[in-house]
This record gives sequence, C-alpha cells and structure tokens, in this order.
Amino acid sequence: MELVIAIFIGLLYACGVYLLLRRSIVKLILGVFVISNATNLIIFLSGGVTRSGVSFIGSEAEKASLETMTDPLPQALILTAIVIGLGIAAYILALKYKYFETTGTHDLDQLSKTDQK
Amino acid sequence: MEQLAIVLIGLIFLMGLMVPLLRPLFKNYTGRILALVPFALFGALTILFFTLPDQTSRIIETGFGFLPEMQFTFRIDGVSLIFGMMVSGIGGLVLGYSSFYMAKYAGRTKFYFFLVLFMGAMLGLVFADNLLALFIFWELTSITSFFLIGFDHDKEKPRQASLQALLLTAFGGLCLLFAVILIGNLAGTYSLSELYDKGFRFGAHSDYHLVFLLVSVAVATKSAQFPFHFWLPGAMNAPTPISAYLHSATMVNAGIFLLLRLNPVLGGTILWKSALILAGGITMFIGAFFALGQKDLKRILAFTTISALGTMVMLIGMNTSASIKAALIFFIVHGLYKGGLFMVAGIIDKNTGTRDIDKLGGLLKTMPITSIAGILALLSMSGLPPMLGFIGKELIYDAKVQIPELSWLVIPLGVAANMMMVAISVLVFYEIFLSRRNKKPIALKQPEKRLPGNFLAGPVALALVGLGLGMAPGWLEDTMANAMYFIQSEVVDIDLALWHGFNQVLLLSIFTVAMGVLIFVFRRPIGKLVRIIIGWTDQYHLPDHFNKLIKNYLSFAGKHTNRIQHGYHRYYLMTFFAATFVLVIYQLFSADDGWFPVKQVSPLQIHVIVVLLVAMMGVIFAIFTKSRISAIISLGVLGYGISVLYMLYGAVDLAITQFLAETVIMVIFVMVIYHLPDFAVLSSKKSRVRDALIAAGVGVMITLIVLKARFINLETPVSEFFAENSFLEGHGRNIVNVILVDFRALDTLGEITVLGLAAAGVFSLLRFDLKDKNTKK
Amino acid sequence: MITALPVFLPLAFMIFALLFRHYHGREYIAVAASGLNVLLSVFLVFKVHQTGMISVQMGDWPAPYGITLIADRFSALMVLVASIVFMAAMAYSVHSLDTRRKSFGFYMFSFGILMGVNGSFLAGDIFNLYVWFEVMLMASFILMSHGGDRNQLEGSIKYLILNLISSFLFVAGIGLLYGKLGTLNMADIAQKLMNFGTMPSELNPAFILIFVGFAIKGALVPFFFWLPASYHTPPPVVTALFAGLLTKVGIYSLIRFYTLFFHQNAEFWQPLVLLVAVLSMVIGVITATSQFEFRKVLSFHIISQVGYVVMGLGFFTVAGLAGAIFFLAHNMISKTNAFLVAGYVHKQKGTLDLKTLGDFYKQHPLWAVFFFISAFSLAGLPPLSGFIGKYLLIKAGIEAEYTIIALIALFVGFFTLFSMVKIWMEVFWKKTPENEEITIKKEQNEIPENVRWMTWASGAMALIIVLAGVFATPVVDYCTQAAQSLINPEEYINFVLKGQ
Repeated sequence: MELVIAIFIGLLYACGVYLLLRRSIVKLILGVFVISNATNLIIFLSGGVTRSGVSFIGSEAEKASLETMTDPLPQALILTAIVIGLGIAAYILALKYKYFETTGTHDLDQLSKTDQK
Repeated sequence: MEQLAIVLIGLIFLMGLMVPLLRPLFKNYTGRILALVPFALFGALTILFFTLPDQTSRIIETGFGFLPEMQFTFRIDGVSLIFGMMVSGIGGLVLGYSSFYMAKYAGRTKFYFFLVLFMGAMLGLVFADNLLALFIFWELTSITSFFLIGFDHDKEKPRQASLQALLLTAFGGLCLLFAVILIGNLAGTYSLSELYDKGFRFGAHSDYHLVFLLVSVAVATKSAQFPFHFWLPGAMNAPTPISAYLHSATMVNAGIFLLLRLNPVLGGTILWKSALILAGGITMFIGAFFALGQKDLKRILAFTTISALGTMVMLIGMNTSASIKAALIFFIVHGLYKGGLFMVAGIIDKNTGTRDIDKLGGLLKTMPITSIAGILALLSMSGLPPMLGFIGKELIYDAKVQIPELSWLVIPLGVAANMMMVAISVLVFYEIFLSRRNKKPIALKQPEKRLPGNFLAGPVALALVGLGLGMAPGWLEDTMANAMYFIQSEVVDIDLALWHGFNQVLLLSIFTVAMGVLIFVFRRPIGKLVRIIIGWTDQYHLPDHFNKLIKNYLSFAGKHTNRIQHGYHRYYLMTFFAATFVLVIYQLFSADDGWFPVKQVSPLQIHVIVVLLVAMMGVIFAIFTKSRISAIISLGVLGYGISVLYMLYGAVDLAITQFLAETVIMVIFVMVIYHLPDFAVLSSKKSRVRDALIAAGVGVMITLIVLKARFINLETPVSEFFAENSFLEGHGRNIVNVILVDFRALDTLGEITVLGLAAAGVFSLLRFDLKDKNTKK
Repeated sequence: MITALPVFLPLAFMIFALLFRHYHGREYIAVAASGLNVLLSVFLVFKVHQTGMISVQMGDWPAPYGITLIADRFSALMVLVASIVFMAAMAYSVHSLDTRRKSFGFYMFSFGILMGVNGSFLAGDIFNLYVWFEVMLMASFILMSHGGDRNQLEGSIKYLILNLISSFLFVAGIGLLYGKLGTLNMADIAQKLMNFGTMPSELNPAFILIFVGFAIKGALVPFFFWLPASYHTPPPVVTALFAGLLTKVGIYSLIRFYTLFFHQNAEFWQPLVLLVAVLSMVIGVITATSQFEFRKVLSFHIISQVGYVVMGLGFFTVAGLAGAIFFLAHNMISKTNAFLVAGYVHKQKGTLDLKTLGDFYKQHPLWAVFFFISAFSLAGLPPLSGFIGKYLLIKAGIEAEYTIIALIALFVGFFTLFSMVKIWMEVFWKKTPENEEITIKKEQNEIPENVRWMTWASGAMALIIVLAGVFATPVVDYCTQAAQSLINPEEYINFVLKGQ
C-alpha cells in the first residue's frame, strides 16, 4: 500500500507544481493547497499505515499500545499543520483579493516589475 | 620618553576625533594649535633619536587591543624613528601651512578631522609592532586619505580620484591582511619583535610565493608602483597641503616602510630581488619620463614622486647593505624636498592663480623667499651638493655599482631616470623662477611680504633641514645604523659625508647632471617627442581604463543580475525544484543500498485505492477546467478524499479537522473569486509541456524520497510514552488531543498565534483598503 | 522558566495590543515592551554565560517527550542581538512610520515576528521549530503586504509563495525524520544518529529537504530569489526589521542542524555547504554591485553575507564557528542600521534611487556618519565590527587550510566595499542632479515631521557597531565558547536528555 500512496503523493506534488508554474494567481493558490495536502500525507505516511486502530485509550484500559493503533503523534503534527495551513490560506486569499482590486489582473507575470531596475 | 611618544600619538588620535568640538573654539587658529601636538611628538622623537642605543629597540605595550592577538604594541627603533620623525615633523608643518592655505575653504572641520586622523594612523603604522595593528593603521590611512582626496566631493573629478585611490589601496590592504594572517599562522605570532628575535625566515616555506605576491600587491598599490601607479596623479585633486603630506612622508611611503619592516622576514630571496627590482626600475623610469611631459606643476611633482618611489623599491629589492642605506637616506631626501616643493607649488598657486609652468615666470624677483626655498628643494631633487639629495644620489649609485651582476640593468635605468630628474629640476627652476621671455607678467594677489610668515615657514624649514643635513650628515649615522640592524639583521657602520673623493660614482653623477642639462637645452624637441609618446600611451591611460573597467563590470553584473533576478516567479520556482532535484538524486544514487527500494509493509486495500483515484481525478480536473468554481470544487474533492483516507487509517480527529478546514477554505475561496472571469489560457503550449516535465520530475523525486524512507521505524517512537501516559498523567483518553493540549501544548499555542495573526492580518488588509477608498473620495 | 519568557513576552504584548489599537501612545508602549525584551535577553545571556546552558521542559514533560526550549550561548546571543535589532526598529518606527500603519496593527505583527524569531532560536524540538517558523512567516507576510501598496503586494506574493515552498519541504523532512527515528527532540535525534555510527542512508532525503528549507529561509544561492524581489517594497523600518531577523533565523537553524545532525555525514555535507557558501558570497556581491537602488544594493548583500556565515560553518572548526557566530551577530546589527539610514534618506527625499539622490553629506552630516559606520562595517573596515568578523573568518579559513575559499571571501569583501562606496558617492557626496524635483509621496505626509527617535535608534546601533569592533575581545571569547559547545554536541545532548 505504501507504494500506491507514495505514487499518489508524487502525483499530487506533480499536479501542485504544475499549478504553481501557471501564470494565473488563482491556479498558483490551488497549487499551494494541493502541495500542502500532499505534504501532510507525507507526514502521515511516514508515521506508518500498517495499523489502523483509532488512537484512543479504551474506557476500560489505562494504557494503550502502539501495536494496534495509528501513531498518534504524526496525527497531532498534521493537525497543527492543517490549522496553520488554514491561517495561511485565508491570508493568501485575502491578499489575492486585494491584489486583484489594486491591479485588476491575476496574471503573475505582471509581477516582474519590482525585480527589475 | 618612549611612553610619552606613544601617548602623544594617542593624543593625536584624540585631537582628530575632537576636531569638530575644537574648531569652533580655536577658529582660524585650529591648524596652528593642532600642529603643536605633532611638533611635541617630533621633539620627543628627536630626543629618542639621539639617545637610542645601538642595536636596541624599545617595545611599549599598551595592553589594549581589539582582540588578544591584535594588541596595540608599539616599537621604537631606528626605522620607526626615521619614519616617525618625518611624519610628525612634516605633519606639523603641513598643519600650520593649512591654517593659511585653507583659510577660505568651506568644510575646514572635515579637513582637519581627516588630516589629523590620517596623521595619527600613519604614526600608528610606523610605530606598530603588531602586524595586525599595522594592518589596521594601514587601512585607516586608506580610509582617511579617501576622504582627503575626495575633499571637494561636489565635483566629479575628485570623486573619481578618491574612488580609484580607495579601491586600489583597499585592494592592497586586503592582500596585506591575508599575508599577515598567513605569516602569523605560520610563525605563531603577529609581533614583529618576536619575528625578529626568532630570526624567522619565510623564504623556504611553500606559502612564500603567495605571501610575497600579496605583500607586493599591497606595496605596489600603496606606493604607486607600476601598474598601480595611476591613482597617485589623480590624488592631486586633494587640496595642496594634503598632496604635500601624502607625497612626502606618508601614504605612498607606507609601502616602502612595509618592505623595510618585512625585509628580515621575507627579504633576500630571488623572487624578492627580481620582482622588486623590476617593478621599481620600471616605475622609476616611467615616473620620470611622464613628469617630463607635464605642464602642471603639481602633476610634474606627482610623477616625480612615482619615480622616487620606484627608486626606493628597487633599492630595497637589491637587498644589500649599501642599497638599504641608500633607500633610507633617499626616503629622507625625498620627503624633505617633495614636501617643500608641494608647499611652494601651493603658495604659488594661491598667489598667482595658476600652476602652469608655461604661464609662470620670473618669480625669483617677485617672491624671493618662496623661490629660494623652492630652488633649494630642486637642488636636492636633482642631487646636487651641498644638499642631502647629493648624498642620497651618491649612495644610490654606489649601491648600484656594488652589485655587478645587475649593474648592467640598474645603472642605465637609474642614470636615465636621474638625468630626467635633473632636467625637470632645471626646467622648473628656469620656467618658474627665472624666465620672463614670451610670458605675460604674472600678477601677484599680494606681495610676498604680505603673505603670513608661517605660510612660508613650511617650505623654508624643509629646505633648510635638507641643506643642514647635507652639510652635517653625521647626525643621521647612529640612528641609521640602528635601523640597518633591524632591517638587514647585521651591524653596519654608517659613514655619511658630502665628499667621498673622486671615484666612479662621482663620475656617474657628473655625467648625469651634464646629460640632464643637455636635455634641458634641447627641451623643446625633447618635450615634443615626450608628449608624442605620452599622447600615444594615452590610449592606455590607466585611470580611464580603470573607470572603464568599473563600468564594464557594472554592466556585466547588471546584465547577469537581470538574468538571475528576472522577476518571474515561475523560473524562481523551477530553480528551487531543479536544485533540490539534483541534490536528492545525487544522494539517492550515491547511497550504496540502491535507490529504488520497493518494500511494501502493508497490504493493498482496494477501497483506499478507489478513494485515492477519486481524489486524483479531482486534482486533474482542477488543472484542466476553465471554470473557477469547478476548479475549487474539484479541489474540495481532493481535500475530502484525503479526509476519508485519514479516516480509513483510524485518524479520526485528523479527518474531521481536514474536512472542516477544507470546507472553510472553499467557502473563502469562492467568496474571493466569484466575481472573476474564467481562466484565460495565459501560457503557450511549449511552456506548458516544459512545466509538465518539471512537475513530473518533482513528482518522481517526491515519490522516491518517500519510498526511500522505507516505512520502518529505526527506533521506538516517543509516542509509546504518550500512549502509556496519556490517561494516567494527561487525563485524557484521546491521545491525539492530549498530545495537542498537554504534551505538545506549545505547538498548539504557536498554531493559535498563527491563526490569530492571520485573522488580524486579513482584517487589517481589508480595512486598510476601505480607508484608502475613503481618503480617495 | 526564563528560557520561555522571550516567547511569552511578545505573546502577552500581542494580546495586550488588541486593547490599545487606537490608543495614541501605542508606539511608546511598544518601545517599552521591546526594551523589556532587551533586558530579559541580557539577563538570559548572563544566566547562560554562567552555566553554559539552561533549558525548560514545557509542561514538565521530560525530554524527549515534551517540548524543550533551550538556550545555549549561541542561541542566547542570537536572542540578545535580535532584541536589540527589534528595539531599534520599534524606536525608529515612532518617527518613521505613518499613523495609518501604526493603527492597523503594525506593532502587533512586529511582536509576532519577535515571538517567532525568539521561539526559533530557543526551540529544542524540530516540529516546534517549524511552528515558530510559521509564526514568524505569517507575521512577516502580513507586514510585507501591510498597507497594500501595489509594489508591496507584488513583492509579498513572491515572498509568500517562495517561502511556503520552504515550509512544505521543511515539514515534509520533519515527517520523514520522525518516521525513521520516532522522535522530534533535537538532542534525542542527535543522540540516535550518534548511536548509529554511520548515518543511515534512509535519512538523507529528509535532511536534504530540511536543508533546502533552511537555504530558502536563509536566502542562500540558488534559493534567494524571494529576498531581492520583496525587501525593497515595504516601509523602510519593516525592511530593516526583516533584514536583521528573518534570514538570520534560517542561518541559525542551519548551523544548529549542521552541528547536531548533518556533520555526522560530513563527507557529503561539508563540501556542499562550502560550495553553497562560496556561490552565495560571489553571486550575492556581484548582483549587489549592479544595483542602483539603495535598498536593493543592501538586499543583495544579505545573500553575500549569509554566505560568509555559512562559510564559517563549513570550515567546521572552533575558530570558524566562532567567526560565523560573530559575523552573524555583527551582520544583524550593521545590516539593520544600514537599512535604517536608507529609511531616513527615504523620509527626507522620498526616493531611494541612487541616481537622483545627492548632497546628503552636506545636509545631514550625522546620518552620513551613521551610514559610514554601518556600511563600512559591512565592508569589513577597521575598527568596526565587520572587520573583526571578516578577520576571524578568513583566519579560520587559513587555519583550516581552505586558503582558496578564504581568498575568495577576501575579495568578496573588496566588492562589498566597492558597492558601499558607490552608495556613499551617489547619495552622500555628489551634488543632487538638476531637474530632479523631490517628490515626497502623499502617504508620507502622515509620517511625523520629527526625527528624534530615528536618530537615537540609528545612533545607538552605530555606537554598538563601533564598540563591538573596538572592544571585540569579550564578544569573541563568548563566541568561541559558544562555538566550542556547538562543535561538541555531546554537551547539548546530555544537558537536554539527562539534565546535566
């Protein structure tokens, strides 16, 4: 299964990068979202997908064992990453809105001005 | 007395820094009052000069340094005394002289500030015992002289000149720094005294060539040796007192000083001899030659300085007792006459408004005192008795005669250069002080009598010292012997006299003078010839070439910068990915355990694959659709698909969060872009294919990276601890939640901060906008 | 507990800031809070210097399970220098920033940056480091676009996209690393790597991703593009703050990771790091000299100067690391101050185009002195701090027998000097070209007339530069000790894991 998921991640990255390389700012943002998701999957996958138990401590037990359940730590990390991603996404979108309002374009090649003399 | 001398040097620095405070206090007397300190130092050094025992040096530790190895330790021996007395004595005179010369200039505070600091730096340089301290003072002279040369910075020319001077000397300075560190690294000390005591010789070491190259670049740039000589004539853009000081005792002589200082450590090798003699010889010749073709008095003097510096470098290169002795004497000679001549040039310039030798004339009548001071200096320059210059030139010839293996080269070169020097001296003497033929009479701004006495004091004093030392050179002997001991590491008896009897050397001198006069007699045809040659070499006019070099470099850099920083984010991203790709692939290939590990741990699950396929289709649709809304919705498919994937692998919290976040993002996205038109196809097909290839490459890279990880824990994960303690210690059954709010609460805090900042950011971004519109109305 | 305070103080301020958003004296509160932060940092350095290291386990969960915040000499120094830079920027903003930006959360976002920066310096846990990076990034995105000027928006979109890539790669690397080693604590990872003896090849891809992440953050060649594309667009005080803090955090993290992890596979990483360093130094300086805009020249130079730091790291000797640390600290201060001067020029003339500026030396001699000190310190002239930094690094290079690299660094210094002199000539010396009417933009009218706080801020920084050059001995001693503990990570590992 790892191979399949790895290829899936690779495909997501490929699509994400392709979107990033577009001139349209909307596609660029789509690309960021795709890559962001793919990155979370990398963390998830490297935590291991052999077990699929929910990382709960049953109401009877005092302890749980990692033998049966998915590693909880990567989940916590991804959770953090998703929320951070959400914050950044919201800001990018606001920025995009503002940019379109100020410039009237969503073509990123219009952005080359500030770099040139 | 030693301590006093060092304290006085410190005081000079202090005075320099305090000039902005002192000048309003002393007004027009600033220069003269400031001059008191160098004169006091000169006095202290004079006492040392007569009391310093043979073969001894005095080390004064100040106990202060930027770094432990960068101690400001000073060393008083013959060499530093000779240089120090010149620097402080002429420095005092220059300050007094400036008091009058600069009287009407704006920016005098700046002038004195940098001049006094420059003096302090130069003194520090000649007395420094620590090589790093020496370097620091060396750099300070470069910086302060930059400001002095660029004094008149409203004008283009002084700016260019100061830029050239700074770039060249700083380049040399860097070389010196590197050389010093190399020496220190090898010898284990930066202290000159220790180097001398240990008798440390670098000659045989494998790094010697590098060190020598670096040191000689440092010397050549500072002391204006060919081909780095061209900044010096440009430096004349500084006010005349500065020129007088830079040329006579300071700045350009720092290179000479460095050579003398390092002679015991680096000197004496074949490389040393051949390189220095060659560079010095060429410089000596072209300096004199170019001087012959000049019309501006200051330019003439500038080129003769180059020639004189060449002479000194060549003498040091010869590396015999006689040649070093000659170099030392010649340094004194040159400092005295060059300082005097520049000051004379300044007075003439002030009083007549021109420095053109074709326009000047007959000054002996109208400005007799100035003229006599000038004539004495010229005598010294042409090496005629009874001036010290005569002794200097005799010693030089003597040194050249004494090395038969090289005399075939150095004697003709030297004689030629000296001939021209004589010719120049006579020419200047005749044109400025004597001749009145074919010239309009020069109107003086005020008769010489009305010039402030102190204005004339500088050149007169220098001329008299030159004369006095010529008559009684014996005074120099003891200190010279001391200096020789530390330069050549041998005890040499010095016997200086005007008259050495009738010998080969005297014959050479007479021949030189005769030829010089001959050149003078035929000055018109020769002058024409020289100017033709100079005109021809003007296409190699180095200052212009240097400027062109800078310009070319700038356009080169500009072109490449535009290529690198072109402004297209796509290419930036491509570079990022390409570089990462190269690194990753290199790493994967270089690992010895194969680069495509296909190790499956968990079995294939059809329902997961179906989810993945659906998600993937969503993404691909997002790429190709033209409608924004459908692109966003298909992106949502991906998000939800991944959410389902998390769910299938038991990550419930994650699935829920992902679901919520995805929904929120979609909603915002739709809100932001709903009013926009459909996607237009902005890129060409070719670039799309290229992008697709790059994207595929990145995809493959990521897949390989993920696979490379091989999905086995090499170590037990820390989450074991969480699983065990989550309920007992953290009082929660949902381990993920306990991790978030307890075990790793700080992460969550950061996360919330990001969210809060984002919210505030969005708010201020949008509100700012509203306000903007309001103000527009 | 003191270790955690540099993170919580800015947070407290940010919450507090919501209360006085419209309060007239908010800028003075910000200055006071940043001053408090400086005092705190001084105390931290003092404490660390006594014991070598202090740490705190958040929530009292023992390492490697809980999150560690740790201050060793290196990180404490960075916190201190960052606090100084930050305070200068805050004080400077009082008279240099328009009221609108001030009232729209400038101070809040600035303290967000401070929180992220301090957190990154103190983090002892790789995922925690990522979180601080994101805090810093979020705050800097906002400040970059704060005000919504067209240029600013253009710059911030590039800044944002390129930096996001860095975050993604970094966090992917963290995930992979955790998957292999099962831990996130930096000391624990280092310990486990040491136990392996040779680095398992499975870890390399993760480290490469992390390295690229840091290289983007630190603006190393070939990952620097975001920096010159964006740094000249926001208000000068923002650039000054960014120039002093952001890239330096990336470089700090690179040094930390290199000494703890990467160096255990030195035959791969050392040449790579040196190569990147040399390329950064050379390309940075060449691009910088070609510019004719005050802030762009300085921006490109950042690339060159982080190259110097990474070079010192690449030598991997005590002297090299000490030089790198000193240079990093020096650069934070000198660079910020150079940008502060640029801000003053901008305030007076309304432009930063070198070709249209002039006469500044005559009109504002004091600021000419400030610029001279900062710029010539960057160029490495004595007696300023940059000279000491350059000397230490070149000496380290010679001692480590990287003579060629040391020579390259030497001549890069020459070109740095050239471009600084270029600014000096164009802005300060030459006469203002005729027909160049000074047009101060409308929005600038909201900037206070007064310049007092600007002068004090820049003057204090200039003074620090001079003092750090003239009395370098104690600083260099401190850096050497810091380097010694970096080069022997056992001390760090034992301290975190065993509390010794």
